[in-house]
Amino acid sequence: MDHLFTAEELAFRDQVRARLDEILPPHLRQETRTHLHMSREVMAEWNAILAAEGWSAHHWPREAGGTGWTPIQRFLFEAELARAEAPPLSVFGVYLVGPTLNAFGSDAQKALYLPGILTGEEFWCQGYSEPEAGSDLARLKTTAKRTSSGWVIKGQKAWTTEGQFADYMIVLARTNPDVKPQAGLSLFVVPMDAPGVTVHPVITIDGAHSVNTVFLDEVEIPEDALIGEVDKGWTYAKFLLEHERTNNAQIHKSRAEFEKLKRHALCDGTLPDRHAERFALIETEMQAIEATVLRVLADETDGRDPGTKASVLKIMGSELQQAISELAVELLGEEAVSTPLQRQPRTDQSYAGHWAEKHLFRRVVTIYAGSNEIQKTILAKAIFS
Amino acid sequence: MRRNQTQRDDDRMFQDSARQFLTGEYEWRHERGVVAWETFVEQGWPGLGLPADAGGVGADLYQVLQILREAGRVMLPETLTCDMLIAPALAGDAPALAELMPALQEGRRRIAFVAGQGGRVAGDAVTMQSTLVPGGQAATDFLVAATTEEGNARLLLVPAEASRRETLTLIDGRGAARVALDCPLRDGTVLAGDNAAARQIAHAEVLQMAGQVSEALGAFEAAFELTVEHLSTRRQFGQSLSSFQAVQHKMAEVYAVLEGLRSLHLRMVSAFGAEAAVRDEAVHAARLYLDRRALDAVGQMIQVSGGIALTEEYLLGHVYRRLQTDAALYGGTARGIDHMTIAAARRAPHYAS
Repeated sequence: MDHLFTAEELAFRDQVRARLDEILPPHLRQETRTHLHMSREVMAEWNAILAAEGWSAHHWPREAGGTGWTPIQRFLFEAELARAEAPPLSVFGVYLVGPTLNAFGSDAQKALYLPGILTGEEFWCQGYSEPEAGSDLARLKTTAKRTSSGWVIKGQKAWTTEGQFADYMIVLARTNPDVKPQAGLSLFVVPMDAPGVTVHPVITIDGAHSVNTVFLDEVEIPEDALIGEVDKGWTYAKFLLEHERTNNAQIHKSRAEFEKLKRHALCDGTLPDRHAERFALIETEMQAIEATVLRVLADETDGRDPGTKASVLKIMGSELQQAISELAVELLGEEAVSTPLQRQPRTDQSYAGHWAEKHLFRRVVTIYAGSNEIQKTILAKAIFS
Repeated sequence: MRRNQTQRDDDRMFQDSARQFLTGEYEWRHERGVVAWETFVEQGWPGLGLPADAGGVGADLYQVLQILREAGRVMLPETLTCDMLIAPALAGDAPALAELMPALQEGRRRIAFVAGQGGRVAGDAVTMQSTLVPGGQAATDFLVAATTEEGNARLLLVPAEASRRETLTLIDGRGAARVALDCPLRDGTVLAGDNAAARQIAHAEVLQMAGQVSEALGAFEAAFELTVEHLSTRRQFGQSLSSFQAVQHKMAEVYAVLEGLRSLHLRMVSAFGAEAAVRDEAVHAARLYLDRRALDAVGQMIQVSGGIALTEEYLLGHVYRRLQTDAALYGGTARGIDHMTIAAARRAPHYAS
């Protein structure tokens, strides 16, 4: 879809492509090819390499260590990362905590936490969901109470991805029980090695350990662990959703894995007859999503409100991801189901085995980041307003 | 290159003036009937795509397509794409066609494009038995895509009186024809041969589908707005239909498809500035999305609207007929699937090492 970009944008893309070829070590590319959940070591190594280029937090403001790129440049950069099969960075530091601290953190917090995120030396996890607060996040029960020297946190967090190796958790906790649910929440930084923090593994549908339940048992944290103002946590959490409109579509990942699947299925330059129609429809759907992402980026560039297109992209992008993995597993047939699932990261390099894991875990994409039902309700509200 | 639907003031001007013209007398209503061609001539629509130095107003592709989108909104049954877009686009390379442009702009001539349907040039004779040609019933001349016995392309201009024409009405009310030719070549004019003809025929084919997708997008948008209105006002069980979550979620899904078609429409327009293979793929993508996703979405809107949507007096069923008809034309949905399968296969080896 080169025709959608200017000559300058394409030149930028070519520069990025050439540079990634130079800096991405083959063993990291291999990790991406064979692993669904990245180890801390892999993500840290790649993060450090990108940091040396000034590219590890490319979407942050330039003064905070970002690149100052336009939305279209960021889109092209992310497309190139996927194309090169670079491992993903841990999303919680770079995409969640960094932008939140940049917007609402104190100077001291920024100085303390941002450098570790930029270099990839420190890892974060997200303490939002709870056993009784999934889609209905505002009903969370974890409390933070003031003490003479700071805060004490008590509660339980669920679905904590990367909690098993994170250094810090960003915790959404109730600081005021007497107001409506959204109004009494605040955001805190909790070190994972603080006394009272316990991490329990949760084994998921793919047979692996990537998420956890985290117990916070009277965890004492200092006064300055509070991010921004007290009782404003919901606003801060929502801010981030509004600034990550296109990420949820995961379009670059889908494009990369779809092209790879096609290469796997190609026989004498043609796709198998029996699956041809599905390839054609997925290709068409993908082009619709790519063009929708570009429309949102054009809106952002020109300062227009993209409206509800973020919800459209979440729905379309997640359904496309599942359509690709369903096709992959069907195509691979017996091969895809004959490698046992493993709790530990896989050591074999089986393309089919990797797809089985991905396919199973991919049921999550229509559930997380605001389930597709939540997105449809958001859309309906806008449609009928 | 446009990455947004309302990026430029002159785009909006063309669209606004078309909407203004079509509001009122020409709005969709049951049994509206055919609008006199004179009306469009007065609006300057035939030949609109002609460059200014060829007697046109210099509207670019996107602007012509925006007008067709407006025509789709009110479900005009007239086939406009050939006179507004295809004939003007091809006239630049075909003097004999260019000579017709003044008459086309004055409404004395109307052209229909007949392609992919077995046109044959053998010796001094042209033979053809076409499939459906929307607008063919009213054309004075046909732009005919044909091949020689050696398999070389020919683009011909043939007067309608040299043909046998079976006129018919499609299920969505649009007029069409099946065109049979069996006449000496001298009855018509060879506009282009070989590679030039192949290039122009391919261009005409994608322009035809681009016009079709634009009209259908307009019809889909009108159907969506009508359905939102209906669901907001119609009450059952003491509340509006729009208050039921089952209905809300279905409409959210329909809206996602509408945005998807809008995006592919923009992408398609942009692709006309690229090489032919990229252009063709973008057009087929939009058309396939129309055939499969948009048609299905209109079906879903009929579902949530209830019985009223099955009545002749209500727009929605007519939009469904229109999109169902569109899906059958110009090679049908199968052609889009074939094209996109081949395009998908072609991309893969070049994506990455």
